[in-house]
Amino acid sequence: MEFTHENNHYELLDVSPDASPQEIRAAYVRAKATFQKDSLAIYSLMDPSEAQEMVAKIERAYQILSHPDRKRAYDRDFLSNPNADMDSRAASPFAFGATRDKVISIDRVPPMESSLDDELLVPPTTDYTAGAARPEPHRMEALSAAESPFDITPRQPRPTASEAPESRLAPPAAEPSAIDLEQVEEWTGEQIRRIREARDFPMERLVEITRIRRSYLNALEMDDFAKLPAPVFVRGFLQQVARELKIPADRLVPSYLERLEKWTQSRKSR
Amino acid sequence: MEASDTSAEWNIPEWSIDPFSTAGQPSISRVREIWAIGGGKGGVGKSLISSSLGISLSRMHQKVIAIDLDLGGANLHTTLGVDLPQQSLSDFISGRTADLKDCIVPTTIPNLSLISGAQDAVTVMHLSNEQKTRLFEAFRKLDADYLIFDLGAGTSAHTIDFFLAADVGIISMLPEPTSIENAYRFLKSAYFRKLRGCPQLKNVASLIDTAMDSKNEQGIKSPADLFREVNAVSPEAGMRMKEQIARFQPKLILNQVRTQTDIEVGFSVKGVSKRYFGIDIDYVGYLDYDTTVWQAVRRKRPFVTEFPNSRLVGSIDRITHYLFKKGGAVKPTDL
Repeated sequence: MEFTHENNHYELLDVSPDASPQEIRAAYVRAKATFQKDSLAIYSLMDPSEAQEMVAKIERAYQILSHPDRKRAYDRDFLSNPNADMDSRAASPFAFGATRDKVISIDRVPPMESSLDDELLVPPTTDYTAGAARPEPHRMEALSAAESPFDITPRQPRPTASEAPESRLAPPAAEPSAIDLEQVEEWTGEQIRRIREARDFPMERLVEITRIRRSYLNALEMDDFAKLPAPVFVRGFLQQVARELKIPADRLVPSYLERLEKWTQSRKSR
Repeated sequence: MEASDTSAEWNIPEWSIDPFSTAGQPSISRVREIWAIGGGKGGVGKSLISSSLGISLSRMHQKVIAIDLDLGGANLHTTLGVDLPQQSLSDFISGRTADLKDCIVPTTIPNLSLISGAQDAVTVMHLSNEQKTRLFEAFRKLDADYLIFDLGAGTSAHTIDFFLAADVGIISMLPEPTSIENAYRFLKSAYFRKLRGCPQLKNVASLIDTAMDSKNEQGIKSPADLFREVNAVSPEAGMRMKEQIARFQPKLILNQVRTQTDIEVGFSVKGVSKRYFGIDIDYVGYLDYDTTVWQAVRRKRPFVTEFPNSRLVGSIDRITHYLFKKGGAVKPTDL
């Protein structure tokens, strides 16, 4: 994140832009614990001044993101100059969606500001991201909730096309022809959904592959703009979805974003 | 730093321009995937993890060959309960054995065989580029579904190249300062060597070399500094650098954990790596500290077969299943 987005506070704290205040706080505590002076995880990698600098950045990010007004102002500024960021984002190694392991344990809470203490007592391995995939407390081995290595399946030879067993069983649905895609003038969520279904691409798989939250993907397909994050992120989502569903991104993305923009304008003017 | 980290050895040979050139090309490669286990420090369980992952995979009906690349300090055969094999990689490298197949020795475990490491470090120290190319080609053509590379300690150029040439690079680490230090050194070496081997980054090669020297005078201290410099020279190269970084997705196994805090070290390392190197490390699991392992090692028996119902073996199996399912392919969405 430092590479391109010096000032992206969300990436600095490793939270998604729609994270709850509690998530932001937990991420802040974890980030700070990671870069504190005695942290094992920075040993030999960063010298004290570098680590200090990082902690300062984390503090700055938290000061803004923890304060509703400042956060709103920051979000607005961030959006007002999206071009600075958008193109690099698509190729960014720090792309969003990789905030799966929001695990924080009370063990990790460093002895620091007492002002925070009352809210720091987060139970161990609380995963805010995915209620369904949340590991049971006694199965602490489950490290990354979304794609846990720890679900044991019976030993069997590798199925060659395990990715898409349903597509082999069901007769292949009619591929949306190139002409179909060409004819689309205005791209809506409905179009995306139709193509996804025609491609026999279950939502679960899209969630798994893109690592975009289901709620966002649903909102995308339903044109539920109010539930979508800032356009800069929507752009990234659309590019990923386009890639997976083999929709030409150069057609889908601008068209969709234009509709989103219109909607935002109309809401502002009201 | 190891003595082998001399600048001469770090000269990037032509063959390694893209060590991944054979990856994902089933037409050339009989082998489905290569998993490499490294980690810089000795005694972090590389050989034990290698043999355990190998056994676990072989029990999933995969044909596995474990290859001891701890050149000069080979002992993978011991963790698999095999006596020191007559034929070893040295024979192939030196040309005494024409076919790598002849170096394969069976183990007591069905589907799992072994290629023992070179006994004499000298042959290997002087591996020429042609020999290395020949070795990699021979590896990919072996009659197996999976190869497990058990890498040696240290960050010699050979070790790093073997790590980068694998489809899945696994770093084994203990929650201890010495191990973390060496793991970062290993990660750094691999990271810069990967960038250095990228042909599109040729025109900024001197910058990368500068960054590799941690005491350089230009003040390039971190990968982020390097990126800024590279970007200043050429935004195109900056983009390429980011692509290379995105393709570098090592896995992390934390070994010998005793407490919850130990487990969390893995997450912290992941977080630091993301912010410092810009890479997404996949923390694939941890292994409990378990004294029964040492008992098995003393008896020269693989603990996976000795204690099949232990928690540790359960963890190994879960990690294997995860890696098996996920594989080493870098998803386009990650780029």
